[in-house]
Amino acid sequence: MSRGVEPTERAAADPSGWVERHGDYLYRFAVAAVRHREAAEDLVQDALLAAWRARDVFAGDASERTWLTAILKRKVVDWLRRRVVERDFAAESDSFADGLFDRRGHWKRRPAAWGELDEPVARDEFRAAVAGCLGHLPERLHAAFVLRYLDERPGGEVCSELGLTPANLWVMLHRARLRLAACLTRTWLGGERS
Amino acid sequence: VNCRQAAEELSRAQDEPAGGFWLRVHLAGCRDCRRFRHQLAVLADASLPAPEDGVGDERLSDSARSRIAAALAETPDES
Repeated sequence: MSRGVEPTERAAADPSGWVERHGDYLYRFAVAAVRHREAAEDLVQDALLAAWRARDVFAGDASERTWLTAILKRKVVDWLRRRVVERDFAAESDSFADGLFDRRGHWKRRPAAWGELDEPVARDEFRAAVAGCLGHLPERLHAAFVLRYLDERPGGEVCSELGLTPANLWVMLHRARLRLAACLTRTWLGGERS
Repeated sequence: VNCRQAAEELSRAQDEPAGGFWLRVHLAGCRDCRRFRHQLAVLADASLPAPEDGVGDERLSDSARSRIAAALAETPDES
């Protein structure tokens, strides 16, 4: 490979610098979304290779990192999609939800009063707590939840691509949210309030 | 209508237009479900930009670094 050194060559076409400049950032992005160290490393690699192949497309109107992140995000979304397979969730009972409500469908324990995230510090703390609680979700619920917020598309589109019925996806998201709400009340508020 | 159904509907309302008159009536009379609604709003608010900003201090391992750098170096220049 003997490409002449062009004085006008853009930074985006310097893949050796990518790992140095963006590797940690991209890895954190990936590992937060997929929770698997090795899978996250592979995704970063896939994304950088894809970026290298598509480097001529890089318009230069976004920052290099933003561009690489967008490519990584698509890889992550694909990975998560493969984790969310069709299953008739709506038909299965959810023992976790069963524990939250009594037979008449009332909350067994009243939901805690959460404050607002007015301060940036509070927001950061909360997001750290969310990351921790996401770690405790069952794999499919985790994948569905992350996908929902990573994909930035209406739920209907997300589930048609996943081959899920809307009901299935919403059941999964709801189950994820119930777990997250309970977990965050524990870890973020640090105790129940009534 | 009970709280369990209201909670499901509140969750669904995060993803698509949902929540009919019955839900509003239930919420008007149920502080617990209003609290759950607030929890969902806070959660959605914090989740939306997703891990875009790469929270945390984890680093790409050295082995992955060299592996990826090698893979990039080996990728033929097709353009």
